[in-house]
Amino acid sequence: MSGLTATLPFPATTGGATRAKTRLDHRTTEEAALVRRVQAHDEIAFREVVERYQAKVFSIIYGILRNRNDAEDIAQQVFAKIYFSIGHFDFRSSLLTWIYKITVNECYDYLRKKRVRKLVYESDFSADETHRIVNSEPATDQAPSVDERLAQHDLILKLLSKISEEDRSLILLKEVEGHSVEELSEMTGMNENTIKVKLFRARQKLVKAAQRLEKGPLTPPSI
Amino acid sequence: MHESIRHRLEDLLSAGSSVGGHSSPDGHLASCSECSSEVAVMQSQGVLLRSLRASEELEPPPGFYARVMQRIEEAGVRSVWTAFAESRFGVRLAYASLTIAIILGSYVVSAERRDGHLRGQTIVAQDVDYAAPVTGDLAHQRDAVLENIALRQQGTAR
Ligand SMILES: [Zn+2]
Repeated sequence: MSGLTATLPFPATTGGATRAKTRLDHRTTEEAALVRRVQAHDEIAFREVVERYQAKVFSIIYGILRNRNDAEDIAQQVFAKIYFSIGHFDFRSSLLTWIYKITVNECYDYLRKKRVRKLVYESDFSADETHRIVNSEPATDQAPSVDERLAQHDLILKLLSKISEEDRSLILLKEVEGHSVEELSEMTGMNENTIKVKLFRARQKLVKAAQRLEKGPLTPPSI
Repeated sequence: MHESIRHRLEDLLSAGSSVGGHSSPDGHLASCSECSSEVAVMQSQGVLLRSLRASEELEPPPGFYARVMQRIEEAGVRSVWTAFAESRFGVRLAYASLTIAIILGSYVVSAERRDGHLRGQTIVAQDVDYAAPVTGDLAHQRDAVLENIALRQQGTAR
């Protein structure tokens, strides 16, 4: 982490004012007490975790996959993973951040294992299509068609597959969930500068991945 | 991207829905094509990213928790065997079994060698000159048989 901030220095404060912030200690929250109960194999506490986060997990999965049929299967897998690995939860981040990362990873595992539709994730776009989608140029003056929306959806999933799990969940928490840098700092336990550096790096990687797609493969695909 | 823009990037991306909506206090974006084009692409990608928001709240179907617990139980049974196979005791047991198998195997091979079964000397027909013909009366035949046995044993010992 220090390496990142060293290579990409951001001013430590904004507007000359140093805000005295008390960082949220994730070990002392009400949520932490719940996690400790789950870690002590309290099934009622685990049920509470499931009920508290199930709608969120379903929404994340549906947002990424747009597939109701497989959403439950993936959601079950997410909570099974939470059950088995909550012993390793170290309270450095919020429980939601941790669950979010597990959920996004499960979605990507699913995409890797099951190439559901031709378009999803492994789809190939022409250079023109990629350029148009990345630069948000509509094909016509009308609102994007269903096919175009699917193509946009698949392209962003493909671009996100090119960045690390950590970067992916961070940028999704920022853009999809709409959290501010300050909120992300609280949620992850990282300082705001680090969050900014990580977001910038992730965005740069997405831009480069899109440029690579626009350029297309250097060699023709072998048949 | 220049540092002044990099530092305010998240604010700039959140501020306007189009590149034209940006207002960098020092007017940097208006004069720097490198920064403005990079910010524009990042903003477009932001639009794509926000398309991953679920359009509707998706409530889990009834009985979801029960099915989660069932899955955990099934995975738990599998993981008991996985845990055993990966545990120190499991690994030791595997090594012990392998060692015993090797020792028993070596014993069988050496025993077979000692008995000559593995030397390719299993005698199907032996080239021994049986000098004594088994003929005549019973006493002669008995002597001839004993003589042949003695010769055969000598031949094997050689
Ligand atoms: Zn610039």
